[in-house]
Amino acid sequence: MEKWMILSGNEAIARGAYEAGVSVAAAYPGTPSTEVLESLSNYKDEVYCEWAPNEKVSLEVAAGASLVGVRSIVAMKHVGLNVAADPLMTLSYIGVEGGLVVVVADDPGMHSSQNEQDSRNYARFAKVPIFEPSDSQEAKDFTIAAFELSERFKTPVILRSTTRVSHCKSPVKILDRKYIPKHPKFLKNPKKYVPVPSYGRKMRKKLEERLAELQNYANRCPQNKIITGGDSLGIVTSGIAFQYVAEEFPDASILKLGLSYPFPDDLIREFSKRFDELVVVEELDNFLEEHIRSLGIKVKGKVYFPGVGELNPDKVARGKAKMEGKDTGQEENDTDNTDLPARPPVFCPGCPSRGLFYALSKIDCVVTGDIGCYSLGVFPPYERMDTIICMGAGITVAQGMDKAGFRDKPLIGIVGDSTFFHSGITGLLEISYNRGISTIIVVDNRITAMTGHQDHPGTGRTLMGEKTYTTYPEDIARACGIENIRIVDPLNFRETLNALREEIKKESPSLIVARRPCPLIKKEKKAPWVVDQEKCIQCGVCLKVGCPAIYKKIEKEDGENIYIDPSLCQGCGFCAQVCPKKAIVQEQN
Amino acid sequence: MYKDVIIAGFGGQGIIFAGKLLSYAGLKEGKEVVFYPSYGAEMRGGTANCTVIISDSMIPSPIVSFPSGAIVMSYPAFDKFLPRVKKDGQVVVNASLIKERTKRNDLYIVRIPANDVAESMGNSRVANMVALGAWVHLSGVVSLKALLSSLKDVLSPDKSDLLKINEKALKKGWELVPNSD
Repeated sequence: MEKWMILSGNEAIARGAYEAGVSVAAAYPGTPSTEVLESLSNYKDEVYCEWAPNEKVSLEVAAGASLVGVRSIVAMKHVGLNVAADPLMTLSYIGVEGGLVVVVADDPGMHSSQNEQDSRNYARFAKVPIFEPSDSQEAKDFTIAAFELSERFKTPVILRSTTRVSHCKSPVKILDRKYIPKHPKFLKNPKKYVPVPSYGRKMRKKLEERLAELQNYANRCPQNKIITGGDSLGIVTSGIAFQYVAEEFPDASILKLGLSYPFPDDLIREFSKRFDELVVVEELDNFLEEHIRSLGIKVKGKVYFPGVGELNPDKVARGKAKMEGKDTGQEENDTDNTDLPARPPVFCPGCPSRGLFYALSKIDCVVTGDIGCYSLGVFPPYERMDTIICMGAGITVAQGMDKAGFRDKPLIGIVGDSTFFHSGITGLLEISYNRGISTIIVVDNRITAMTGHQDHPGTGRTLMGEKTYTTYPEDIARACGIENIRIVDPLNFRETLNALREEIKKESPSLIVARRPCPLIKKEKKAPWVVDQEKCIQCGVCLKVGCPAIYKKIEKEDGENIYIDPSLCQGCGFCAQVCPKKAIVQEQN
Repeated sequence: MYKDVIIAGFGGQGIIFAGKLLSYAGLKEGKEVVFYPSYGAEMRGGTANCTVIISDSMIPSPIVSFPSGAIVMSYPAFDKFLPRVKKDGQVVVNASLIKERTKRNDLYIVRIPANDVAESMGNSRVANMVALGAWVHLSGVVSLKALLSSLKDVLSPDKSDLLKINEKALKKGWELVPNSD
């Protein structure tokens, strides 16, 4: 009997990798890519799965596996590919033995990212092929195709998804794991694997030959197809944009590019001949449009369909109206037409970061920040996150300000535990080696929290479910040569504030580990706290800790009262520590 | 036939579970299905919503801005999503938690005290099934039989003891909607 399952794009990629006989899978978690490895780990009896410290490491691990002949996959978010770009660029020279697929999930619209880069550019940059699935079934099929293409042309292959493809769930036909993994073996071949200049130059030439062969293949591969509709309009599209085109242009002829690089020039020329003018509908950059124009074909795209932000059916419909000279002049973002106040995410009740940022808000300082739950410290009532660039930069940007001679305010760099292992260690070495004086805080909640609790080198567990060595940031700091090391409980207000005040005065670098596990790991709910209305003077200090469980209610008779919602309160008691009247007490039993 | 619905409420109300069940029921009936759970940062006490599209033919866009149906389980969900439901849309409102009424008079709204009904059945956590059973009856998008028989596909094996109560809740919700002619 045929078996069907409703899978997200990410789950379908994992299933595809499993069916394609993948042996090694590695990733650093990042929305919207995280579920690829999470679901692959369901097959851990047959597939080795790991959380790597960062994306560069994950790709290097996969490269090693590939060079001994087994199939490997890595998954990362778009900005992760920047971290992994170094091995990718040279791996395309060396090539692969076992199929190697690099899954990259872009985040148009920046739902949960700091930029919206279009990772298709990496395919052209690294000279490797790229697949762009449009739905879950394609996500699975293209993953299998990517492994086959990778081995056939001896090249790493990128499979590019976007938020909507990764997270949308639709039916997928399930097949068996057909491909039998090979026994790993290494055949010494330095001319192939060691790009010292004399060998590398030869690889460079071969790379161009391979690209030309791949282009030939792209012209006739099953993933690039023409959907014949009317004669008046031809549209070139790829990825999720295809779905919107299918909805808004039911009568157009469509060239759907599933293998969008190397550009299938012959196919594009053949398709374009049938129309006076070609239109490209693509999300983010004008990747296809620019190239098609360079072929001397009359084409339009970005003048109708914006390159900033995520596409959706409404935007495509507006582009269509523009094409037809019926510009509606509607404002963008019309899907959110309610006049409700914006509700930015906040720290969960019981979150240790609340304590840390409340303490930081009592100090006049510049805070260079990083990527994680603690990024929320930028919002009121704390407003103690002054810069964010990328993972690890929380440490090094502070160092740059320090070296520039900035002394108006103390400099504090913030990094998370997972982020510290990802990219923070070299920054710490920088501060120690180059004699910085900043105070660095590792917000150590013992888990990769914001992506949904993935293990990392500090948790003592692997993705395979094995126990392993637990690494502590303070041990690394000591080895780096940081002398001032403090470990505080961020939900202990006085302890945290005192540590901060003391460390920022020092003329040598300090590391404060603000350690308390994310309350969502072990869901231990302590007795909630309540406001003793007799003692409460409504000064509002507790409201400034920014806990969603604490609220003010306007009473009919006696004005306003402050309450704690017992269903939200996790019993952390931080608010009680800041109450000047000791009016917040823990409920008994 | 093309039907889309948004299911919305608080995290922990079984919103995503209801969407998944409805999707599998659609699959069981040989329909095209798209299920889109909303994703956000992990957060306790946050909102949850998902959209499900069920159709006889290929579903182009997975994004639904203005659904033709809604199951709203909490007041914030009522506030946010009711204005977006298309004219003549079929809506189930969880009257246990939503006392407010909408000014819109162009919708088919059924108010079901889902939490109270679930509690009277002995498990307050099946309020989602009560509401889903009601909406499926209201919309006729899939059969009750398909819904019931999909439960075992969606419930994780360690929760199979909850099969009966979920079935009961779906049926109860279905019965709470009067037969339309």
